[in-house]
Amino acid sequence: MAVTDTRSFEALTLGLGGEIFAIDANSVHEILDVVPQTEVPGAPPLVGRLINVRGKVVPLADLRIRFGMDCTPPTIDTRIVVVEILLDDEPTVVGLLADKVHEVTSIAGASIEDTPDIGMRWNPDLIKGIGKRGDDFIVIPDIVRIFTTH
Amino acid sequence: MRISIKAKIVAAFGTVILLSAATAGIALNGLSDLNEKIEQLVSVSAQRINIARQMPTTVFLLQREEKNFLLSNSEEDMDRFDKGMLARREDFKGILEQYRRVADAEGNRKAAQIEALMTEFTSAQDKVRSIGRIHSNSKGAELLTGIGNDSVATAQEALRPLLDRAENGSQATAEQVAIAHLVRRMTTDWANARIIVRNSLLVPDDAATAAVLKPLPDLLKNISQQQDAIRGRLTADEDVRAFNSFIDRYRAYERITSDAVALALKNTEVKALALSVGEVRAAASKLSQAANELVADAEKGMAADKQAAEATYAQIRMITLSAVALALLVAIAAGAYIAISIARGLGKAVGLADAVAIGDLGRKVEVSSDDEIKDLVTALNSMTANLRATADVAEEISRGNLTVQARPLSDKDMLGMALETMLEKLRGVVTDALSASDNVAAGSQQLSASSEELSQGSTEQASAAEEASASMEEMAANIKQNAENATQTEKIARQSSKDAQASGEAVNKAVQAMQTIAEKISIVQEIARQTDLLALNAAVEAARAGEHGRGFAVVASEVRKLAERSQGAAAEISSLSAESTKIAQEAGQMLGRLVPDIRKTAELVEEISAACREQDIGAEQINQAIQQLDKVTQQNSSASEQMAATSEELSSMATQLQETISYFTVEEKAAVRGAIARTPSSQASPQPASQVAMARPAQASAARRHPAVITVPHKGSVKPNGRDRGVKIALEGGNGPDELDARYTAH
Repeated sequence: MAVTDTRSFEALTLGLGGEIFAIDANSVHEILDVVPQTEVPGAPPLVGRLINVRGKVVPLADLRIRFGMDCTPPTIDTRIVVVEILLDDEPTVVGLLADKVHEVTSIAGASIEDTPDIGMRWNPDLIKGIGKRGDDFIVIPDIVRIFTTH
Repeated sequence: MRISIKAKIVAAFGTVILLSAATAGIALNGLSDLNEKIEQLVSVSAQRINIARQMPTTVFLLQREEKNFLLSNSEEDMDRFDKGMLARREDFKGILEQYRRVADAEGNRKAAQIEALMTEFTSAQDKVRSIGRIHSNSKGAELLTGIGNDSVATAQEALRPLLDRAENGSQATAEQVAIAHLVRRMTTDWANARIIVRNSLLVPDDAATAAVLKPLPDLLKNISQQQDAIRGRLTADEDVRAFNSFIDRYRAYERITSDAVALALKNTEVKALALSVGEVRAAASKLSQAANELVADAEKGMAADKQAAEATYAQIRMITLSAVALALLVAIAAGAYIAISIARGLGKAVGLADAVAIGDLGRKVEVSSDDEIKDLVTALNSMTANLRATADVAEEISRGNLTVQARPLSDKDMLGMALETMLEKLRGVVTDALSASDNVAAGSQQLSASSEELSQGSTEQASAAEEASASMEEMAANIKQNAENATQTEKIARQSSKDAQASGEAVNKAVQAMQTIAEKISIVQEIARQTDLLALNAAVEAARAGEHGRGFAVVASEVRKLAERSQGAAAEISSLSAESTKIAQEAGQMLGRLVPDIRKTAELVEEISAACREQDIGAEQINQAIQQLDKVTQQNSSASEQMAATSEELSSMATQLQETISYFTVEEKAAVRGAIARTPSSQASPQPASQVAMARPAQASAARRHPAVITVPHKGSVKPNGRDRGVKIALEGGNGPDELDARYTAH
């Protein structure tokens, strides 16, 4: 997959199954503590539950299922990151479950590399790229694709 | 001469009874005399009076019948009363006959006289009877009221037309009125004539009748003249006819009137009454007088009889009273004599018996009479003499002489037998008492020696007991110290237990405090986390603001760092507090385990303390017991000393008893006893006695020196002493106990 944008951007880093992911800070609405969740029978496991965000019903997605990670029970650091994405050119608000939210940081476009074809644990289609920050790798997921591809 | 009381009483009573019998005989005789007199009084005199009294009564009855006869108008009444008169006469004759039966000579004479008088009276009365029967006036009256009145009524009826015409008719002529006037006058004269005739019948005696009838002939003539005058005036035929009928009727009346006048002139009633009042009454009164005389005679006779009876009664009463008085006098005299003689004799006997009763046996009584009283007094005197003899024997005994002989007077003499028995027993008792007092003297001396030894032994016992007591006291002091220490330890252990418990509680509180801190810290942590979240959100917002939010982003990042730091610090504090809580809890648990151990220790120490205290008390008791023992031993010692003194005294008392008993002399043994008492003392000599006596004090002193050896030699010495006792009695009894006494007293 090619890197479409080489510019540096403000990203929210968060931990998922031991890996660090980065989401464009501009798409983030807010970060919430874990709130009561309602399971939706018959829904796909990715968005099997609903939450109430300031009076709006928002589907809650667990990205660890998409990336085939273990589903550990929520800890004290578990957070819900509410993002707004364009699905079929329609802004949609979705809650993402995160093991931990690290910080808002700017990621230089130069540091972002293409996803290696081999040696990857996850489906490369779902990743925009991998940035580096210090010694750590930061995975930049393609949120839209995650929700659109099945 | 002996006259017993019985003979005296019999003689007295016999006399009295004889006198009473005589009195009764006299009284009976008198009574029969009196009875005859009373018989005479009742059967003869009383009957005479009774019969005599009937005579005047019968005469009166006769007269009454006669008067009734005269007063009666009807023929039947006259017959009845006439018959009554005759019956009374028969009655009188009967009475006279009865009187004659009971009368005496004088009575018979009087009866004959009365019979003559009766004949006289009867003839007089017979005249009255014959005249009285005619009854002329009454017959005349009957004539007038019967036929006379009828003829008058018819005659006047015949005149009525003449009178009515003039008096009631309204158209009477002057002639008629004159005729009526004449008729009225004629009838008035006629009425006067009728009155004269009636009066002549009512007047009783002849002279008066003649006087009454004197105007009658003129009056009758006058009437006939008037009749002629009336006839001359009559013109009418019917008037003449009426007048003629009147005249006829008047003639009838005139005939009746002449009859009546004839009867009136007879006046038989008056004559009969005059006879009755005159001749018959005189005869009757004579007859009554004679009868009354007869009654008076009878009464006189009865009074004489009564006087005779009274005289007899007075005589009998006099005789009876004097006989009774005599009997009474004899009885009183005899009774007084017997009573006084018995009372005097018995009084003397009682005086003697009273004297005996209060113990006076020295009296003697003499009686002059010779009877049962004298027997009694003699018997009493002999009784007193016997008693005096017995009293002499008793007195001899009281002087200590037991050698006297008391012989009972008979096998029923209780006092004598008792005295004899008493004497025997007394002899036995005195003998026994003598020997016993000897024994007592010897025994008491031995007792004195033994008690001396006992006293010594007990003194040593007392000193040993004292030593034991001292050691015991020391031991008790140690035990007391132990007890006190144990008590102290116990107190400390108790305090420790309490402290440990308090520490445990403090630790618990610390644990709680730390838990509270941990809670608070968790709040801080939560705040820090929230702050972190807020800072993140702020950073996101800043990032979205792009270039404009850069500064804000820096602030947010700083805030976030602070939050993270405070979070870290809080976490550290939390972990620290958790650790210290754990440590404190451990400390608490350890303290908790410690508390029961300490408590247990305290309890054990307490037990030790209690045991020590008990030990202390025990030691104290032992100590007291030893002291008691000591005291008892000392008491024993003093008691045995006292016993020695007492036995000493007993010995002297035994001697005294011997002396006292020696008052009694028991036959000739008194001499023998003295010999016996002396012989053993000389035979055995005072040596053995003194040896024995000496040996005992020696042993006692030996015992005093060696207290451990006391028992064996003491026992050994006792037995020979016991055997000695039997032998020793006589020895010591003879000898004066002064020597030995002195020795014991010295000890």
